[in-house]
Amino acid sequence: MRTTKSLIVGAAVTAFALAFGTTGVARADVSTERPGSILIFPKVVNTTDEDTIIQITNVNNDTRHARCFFVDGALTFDPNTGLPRPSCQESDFSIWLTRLQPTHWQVSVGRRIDPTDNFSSAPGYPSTAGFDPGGIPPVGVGFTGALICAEVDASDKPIAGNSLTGQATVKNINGDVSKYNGITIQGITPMGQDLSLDNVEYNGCPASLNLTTITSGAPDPVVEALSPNTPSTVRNFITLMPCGADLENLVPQTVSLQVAVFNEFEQRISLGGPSVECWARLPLEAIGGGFDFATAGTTFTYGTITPQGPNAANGILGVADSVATDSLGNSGSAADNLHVAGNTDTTNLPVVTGSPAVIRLSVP
Amino acid sequence: MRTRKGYRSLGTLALLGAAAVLLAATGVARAQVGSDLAAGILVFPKIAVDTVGRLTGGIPVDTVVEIANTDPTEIRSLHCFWVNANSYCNGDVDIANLCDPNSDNPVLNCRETGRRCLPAWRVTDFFVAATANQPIGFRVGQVPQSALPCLPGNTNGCAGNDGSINPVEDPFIGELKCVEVNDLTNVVPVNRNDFTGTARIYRVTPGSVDVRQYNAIGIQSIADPNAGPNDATTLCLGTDTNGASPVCSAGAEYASCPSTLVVNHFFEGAAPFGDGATVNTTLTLVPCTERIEDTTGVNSVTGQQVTNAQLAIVNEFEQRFSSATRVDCYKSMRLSDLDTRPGTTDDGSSIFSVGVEGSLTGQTRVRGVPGQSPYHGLLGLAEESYSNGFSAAFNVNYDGVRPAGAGDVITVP
Amino acid sequence: MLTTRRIGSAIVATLVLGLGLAPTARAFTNSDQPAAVVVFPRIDVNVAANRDTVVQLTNANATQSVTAKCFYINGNSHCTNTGLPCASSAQCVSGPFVGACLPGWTVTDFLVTLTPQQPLGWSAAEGLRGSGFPLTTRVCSNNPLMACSNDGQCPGGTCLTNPTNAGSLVPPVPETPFVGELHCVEVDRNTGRPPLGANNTNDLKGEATVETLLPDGTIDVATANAVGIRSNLTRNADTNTLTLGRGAEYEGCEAVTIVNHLFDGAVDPIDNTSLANTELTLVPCSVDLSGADPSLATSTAQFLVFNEFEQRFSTSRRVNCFFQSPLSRIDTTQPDRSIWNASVSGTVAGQTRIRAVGASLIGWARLSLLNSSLNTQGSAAYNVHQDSVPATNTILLP
Repeated sequence: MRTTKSLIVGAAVTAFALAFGTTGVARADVSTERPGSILIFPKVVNTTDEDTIIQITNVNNDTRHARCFFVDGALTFDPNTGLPRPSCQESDFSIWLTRLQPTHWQVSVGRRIDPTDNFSSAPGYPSTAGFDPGGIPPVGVGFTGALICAEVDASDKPIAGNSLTGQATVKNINGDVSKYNGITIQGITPMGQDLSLDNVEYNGCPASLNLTTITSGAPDPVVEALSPNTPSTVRNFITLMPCGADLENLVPQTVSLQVAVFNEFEQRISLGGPSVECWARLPLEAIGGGFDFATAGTTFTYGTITPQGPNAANGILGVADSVATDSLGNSGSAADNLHVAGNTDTTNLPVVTGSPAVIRLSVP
Repeated sequence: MRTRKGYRSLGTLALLGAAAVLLAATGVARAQVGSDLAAGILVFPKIAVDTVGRLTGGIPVDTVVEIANTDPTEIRSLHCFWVNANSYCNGDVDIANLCDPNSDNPVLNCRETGRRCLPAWRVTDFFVAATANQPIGFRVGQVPQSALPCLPGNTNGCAGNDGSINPVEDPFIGELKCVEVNDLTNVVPVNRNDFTGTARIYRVTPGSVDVRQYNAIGIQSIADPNAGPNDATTLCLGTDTNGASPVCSAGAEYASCPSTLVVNHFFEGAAPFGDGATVNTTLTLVPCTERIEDTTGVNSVTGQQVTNAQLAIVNEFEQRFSSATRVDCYKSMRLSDLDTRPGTTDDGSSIFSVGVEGSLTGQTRVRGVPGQSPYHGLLGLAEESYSNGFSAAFNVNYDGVRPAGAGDVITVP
Repeated sequence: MLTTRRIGSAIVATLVLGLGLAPTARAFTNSDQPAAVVVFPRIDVNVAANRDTVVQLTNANATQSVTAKCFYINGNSHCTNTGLPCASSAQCVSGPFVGACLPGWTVTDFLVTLTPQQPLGWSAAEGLRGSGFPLTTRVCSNNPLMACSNDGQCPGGTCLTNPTNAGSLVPPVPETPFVGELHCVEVDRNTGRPPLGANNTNDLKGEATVETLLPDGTIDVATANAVGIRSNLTRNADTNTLTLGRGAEYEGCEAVTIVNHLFDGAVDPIDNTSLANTELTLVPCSVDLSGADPSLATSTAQFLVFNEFEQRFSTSRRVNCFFQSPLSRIDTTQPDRSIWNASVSGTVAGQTRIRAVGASLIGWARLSLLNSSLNTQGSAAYNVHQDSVPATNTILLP
């Protein structure tokens, strides 16, 4: 005969087991490898010098649907202030991916729905053979921004299918390519068109980003050793965007950053940082003077980028890229996903106040 | 009838249950395998050095490794292992017999002399202690390596470094694995996740500079950093209770490896930008289980476990193909060589060929089998090489984790 | 005040402490005591290169003759296409094809009987036979150089019935060049197996001298003692299986070998010109001397290398029956990138601790100093140290 007490104990034990014993969704920040329900490409460019190919894959055994939004971070003049600011203009489309289907498109040309297109396409126009995921508009020349895709069901309601992964390949006019993984955010229990990155609906944004790099302006150690064309130099760039976005009202999200840079001598050589509104691609030394070789004094530097201030909860995401150039101007570039530090493990990190980041989708 | 004591117990237990649910809802961070996280084990799947271009058609190749201690206050230490996967004709380890099994050149692949190009896996190690927030970077092909900047007696005004980095052979192809340890006098793995890593692989000629970059794969430690150190020589990535002689039945110390690697790639020979520059993708696979103290014996009791990697390829028409390949200690080859003979001769017949698949991109899912047996986890890296001489690297995606009991083990000396 | 109980506890504590402090009798291999099994890790013969090894085997027993069953283990590799000895496949070229240089360990055995306290020496290249042995017949008491068979042949003396070397034969090494090892096991002359129980004594000791005639006419000499494995006198069983280890028939081989060395390429601190190079030889303690099961003599050597800054590197190598390599070629094919290279390690001297995973290892090292300006070379061999708890090993006799 079970007593009341034993029943209560059993219930508590069960609760504990459910809390800690289930495999469930790994709740630990954004990821650049795990599939997610939100997929973000921070750097999507179509300029006279660069173009981008987006690859998105459905890793699920069911057909998946996603709403995608191009966010244009190109600078325009604010009519109210006369100052340049990112336009933050969005254009959206939907894609459907059958089970395990990969897809791709080149952002400068988009992708048509054309079941008759085959592999032998016209020169200069990349092949779009395959199940077309949907009509994907091209972006205009001069587009520099991001792409955000959110997994939804057939009625465009956000779901936590965690089915999307992706890569972006950026090619420049010289033929040089760089590639990075799309940033995924895993869904938990979405509740509406406002995607709250609060560890309840979706995983939260990272508490900080960090990167290790060859210091901007430093000679590249490999080019110096192997090439006759010296001296060489390295330039670094970083593309940043707030975690949250208001894609319905087109209100740019802003986040202030604290950037700490450390050199090889364990010296913290700068502490400061810009604010990022909507989207920004900047020379790395522009967000932290310590990333400049003349300041750092060492070939390698390590930096942390931490949101701060009243809007710190907006979070920050980004990718970095570096260019090594020899004395004749031959250059090679590489893109790199940034490392993240936990949103739930905030040891030694500033306490984040305010509401968590939200990606507000436009009403379909 | 409930007594007061019963009410009190009821209330306490209910609170405990609510706390449990609340903790679950707020998302306790779990240890993971990922290339964007600070971790206790770093895996650099591909390190390439060939400063005279002996195996690369005369094009010098080198790698820059960058490691950072993300702890803002303490010195943290690493025990690192170079896993040398150089191949030699008939496995005869001699610089004169160095070869490339994936080369078309009959001299470089040993066929001209009637021999086979076989890998000979050897391991050397080194230790480094990094100060708080310190980046450590070095060119792998440099010999001798520069001293760490904050060694005792340095003139840079800093302190806290210890250890030194040993050079590798030239040419060198292989991986670098680093394990966070207590310190250099007590080299025992610890329950901490303090290190990040990045590698840049260069190809440099008088007329070009090509660089590709990837993040080291981090395998996070699970346990409480305030707890005692992990086992001194056996690192448990998950548990291995499904095996015949488990060594990790007491529990996992590190995150389990992914159950499936997802490689999103262009098919071989595709011209993604429509400008005539075609692309080939090289996939590098390294096993999660590694007996670093003895990598010379393959498929033996003390040797390295051989893993069969099942490959499932899906194109943009949702059409599926499959293949398999064996991974011993290290495997790096072009996709089109996974199912055909090494070399470019029959690439057009490969299921990875764009002409066979009919679409530009595909998804290849790589799974170490048996999936329910331990010691068959895999980690990977993908690199694209374009016909115009440029390249790019990216970390592969993951799907799922290896189930309980099918974990992996790293044995260190 | 000490009560009876407290006094008793104190006594117990003292005993425990005392036992703890008193050194436990340890079982070692050693190179400085007579033993029942002696191992010469390096026998090196190359007639074409004017190199030979002089083996000295001595019976330390003052009253008894000793019979030793000895085994040359040939560590040469051979070309699969030509069958010739080789060091690498580059030596196996035949027309357009290159064969493989594969190791194949063969064993050659012989019997030697040593009279009381008799030392015996021979050239490995030539062996020793017949009249080469000093005591093949009886001799006169008043003239040891006079062979005899009866007293009548010894005017003024008697024909001694001393022990002799009769029945002994030392063959030359089976091929040249030859690199390998020599094991000698004290056996009963009649049974060919180790003597039973208390009869099994520790009587053998040995030295090996590698001599090289250099182009300038000088002779380079390197000598080291053989490594002895002592028997536990009361535990020895009369079988062909020799068990080694703590509490076994023979004392064990330690799991850790320690080599103190100069790093390769280090400048000799004495003449500040010569460059050092050390060659290491490792042989497994476990071995099947019948040649049937070469897998018994396999081990993985874990190397821990410490420099004078206490910095540590490590690597590992497989040891199959016989391992020999310059230090700076153990971990790499490029010595200037080796963890044993002085420019990598940063100091002149180092310590390498070798831990065996599998069969324990017996080591031998040889330091060479090369003065390129004077074109001179000198070398010296030395025994390595042992440490750690003896492991269990097995020697199988045919």
